[in-house]
Amino acid sequence: MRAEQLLPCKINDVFPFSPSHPLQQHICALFEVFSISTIMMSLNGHKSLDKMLPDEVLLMIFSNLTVIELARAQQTCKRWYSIAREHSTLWKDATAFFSRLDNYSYNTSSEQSKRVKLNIRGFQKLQELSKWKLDGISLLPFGDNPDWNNSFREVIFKALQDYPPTRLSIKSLMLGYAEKHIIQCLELLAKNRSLKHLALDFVSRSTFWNLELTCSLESLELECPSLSGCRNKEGLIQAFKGLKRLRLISPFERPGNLEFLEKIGQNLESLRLEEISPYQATVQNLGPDVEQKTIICFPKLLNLTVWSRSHISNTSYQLNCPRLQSLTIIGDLSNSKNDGQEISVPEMLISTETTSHISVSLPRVEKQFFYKACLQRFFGKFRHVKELCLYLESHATLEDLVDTLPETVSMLAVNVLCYEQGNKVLFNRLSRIHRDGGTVKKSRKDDDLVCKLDAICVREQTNSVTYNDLTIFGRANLRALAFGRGK
Amino acid sequence: MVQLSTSDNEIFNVDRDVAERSVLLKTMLDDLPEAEENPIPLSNVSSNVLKKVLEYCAHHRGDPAPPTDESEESRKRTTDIGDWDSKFINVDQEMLFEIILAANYLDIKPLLDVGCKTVANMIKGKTPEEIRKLFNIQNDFTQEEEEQIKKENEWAEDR
Repeated sequence: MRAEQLLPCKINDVFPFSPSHPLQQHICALFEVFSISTIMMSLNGHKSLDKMLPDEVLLMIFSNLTVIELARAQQTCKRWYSIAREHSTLWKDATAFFSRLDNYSYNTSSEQSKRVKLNIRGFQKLQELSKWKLDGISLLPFGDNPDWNNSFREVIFKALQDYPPTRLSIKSLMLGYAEKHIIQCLELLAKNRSLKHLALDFVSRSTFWNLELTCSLESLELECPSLSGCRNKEGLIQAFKGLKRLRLISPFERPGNLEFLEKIGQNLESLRLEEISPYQATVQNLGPDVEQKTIICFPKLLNLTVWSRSHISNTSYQLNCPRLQSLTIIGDLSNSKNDGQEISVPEMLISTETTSHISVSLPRVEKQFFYKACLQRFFGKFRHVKELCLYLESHATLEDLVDTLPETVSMLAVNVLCYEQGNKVLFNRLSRIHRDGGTVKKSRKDDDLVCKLDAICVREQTNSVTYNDLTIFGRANLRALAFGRGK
Repeated sequence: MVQLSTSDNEIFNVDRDVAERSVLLKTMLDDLPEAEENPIPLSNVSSNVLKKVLEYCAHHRGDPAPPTDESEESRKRTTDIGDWDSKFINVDQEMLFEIILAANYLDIKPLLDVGCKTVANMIKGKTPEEIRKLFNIQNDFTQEEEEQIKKENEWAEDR
C-alpha cells in the first residue's frame, strides 16, 4: 500500500472516530493537522436557503459560534444582526475574546494604543450584549505590557467586582509589578460565591492559599501548588471538596500535597497530573529499600491523564481509582530500576479492571528479547480495554504489539514517532490488518488469537523524535501515511 | 411497526423504537394508541427527507436518552460531530436545511444539533461577504448601516 494511493483521503477516513472521542481528541491535540470545519466547505448554495430556517434554528446555529465568530456573522444581514443582538446568552462566554489577547505583538506604539482602545471597546460591547453577565473571563495579558494593561486592567477589575463570573482563568502571570494586581484580583475572587471554574497558572507561596474562599469550585487548574505556610487549609478543603475536574502541574513537589489531594479528590471525575516528579524523599523518611507507598484513593474518578518529562514509574504513591474508564499517559514509562526492561506504569495504578480506554506512549526497550513480555505484562493489567491509542518509538514495538494486543481491543490507533527503514514492517502489518477487514490474526498455529478491530488509525512522523520531544508534537510536520478501517 | 405518511403521500413502515427517536412521534404514540393502526401524516416532511431522517433514527435507535440538564459541559461551544453523523450530514445545502427543519419539527434534538453544528462550522472563519455568498443571503444593510456595524464589530477583526 503506497501513501499516494491513500491520499487525498477524507478526514473521516483518516480519523475514523468521532471528533469528541478521546482517541481523536488526543490525536488532534497532538498533531493539529486537520480541522473538522474543513469537511463541509465544499457545500455551495444557489437559492437563498437561510430563509428556510426559522429564528429558533438560527439561534441554535449561533450558539455554536464563539463571540468572535458571532460578531462577524451578525454583519451578514439585518435578520442575523437582530437575532444575535437580542439574545444575551450568545455573548456570555467571552473566552474566545480573551484568548486572543495574549498573542498580540505590536510594531508601533500607535498600533498598540489603537488595539488597547479596541479591546476595551470590545470588552464593553460584550458586556453590553451579554447584559453584563460575562461568565467566561480569562486574564491573559498581565505580564507583558504594563502600558496597555493599566487601562484594560481597570476595566476588567471593575467588571470582576460588579459582575462576578462563574469561570475565570488567570494566565501568563509574571512576578514583579503584576503581582499586586493579581492579589487584588484574587481578593476580589475570594468573595465571589458564584465562581465555579478557576484556572491559575502560577500561584505564589502565600497569595492564593491564604485567601478565605467562600465559593465551592467545580473545576480547578493550578500550577505548582504549595501548602506550606497555608493558614487556611480547612477553608481550602471546604472550597475544593466538590471539585469534579482538577488539573495540577507539578502536583507533588511539596510535602503534604499528597494528603491534600486525597482530601479534595473524593468527588473528582477527571484528574490531570502534569510534570509529576519522582519520589520526594522528604515526604516520608524511609530507607532506600523500604517499599512503602502512599495510596491515594479517588472513588469517583473516570478519567486520568498523567504527563511527565521524566520517568514516571518510580513514584512514591499509588493511585486507587476503582471506577477509572479512561487513562492517558504521556511520558517515559520505562522503569529505571530494572534497566529499562519494564513498562511499569500500572504499578502506579491499583485498580485497572474498569479501564476501557487507554492512550499511552510505549518506550523503546533496548533488549528486544524482553519487549514482548513487557507488553504482555502491561496489557495484562488492563483486561477490559476496548480502545487503545498508542505512540510508538520504533518499528520493533509494533511487531510485538500486533502479537500481544489484548483480545478485548476493538479500536486501535497507532502513531509512529520516528521514521526508520523498519517501518516498512509496520505498514505491511497494518495493511494486512486492513485487507483482513479489521481482523488481526496472530500467526501461531496453536492459538489463533483473533482481535476484532473496528478501526485503525496510523500516523507517522518523518522527523525522528525522542521521548522528551513529546510535547513538541503540535508543531511537527506530519503526514498521514496509512490508515485502515474495518467493519 | 408504525406507519408514517409524507407530504408527497409516500408511506413508510418504521419500527416503533426508530420512530420514537422523534419526541413528537413518541408523544403521539404514547398518547394515542390508535396512532399505531393508521399512518401518521407528516405534512411538513417530504419522502426524500424523511428517508434521510429515518436513516439517522435507525442508526441511533439504541442510543441512551440525551441528558436533559444543560450542564456547563454540554453547553460549551464545541463543533463536535460524530464520525457517522458527519458522513450522514455530508449532503447538499438544501438537504441539510431540510433535515434541520424536519428534525426541528419532529423534535429530534441530537439530529437538530448535528445540523446546527454543521451550519455553524460552515460559518466559522468566514467574512460577512463570504457568508452571504455561501448561503446566498442578500445584504440588506444600507451603506451607512453597514459601515456603522462594521465599526461596531471592529474589535473582533483579525489584527
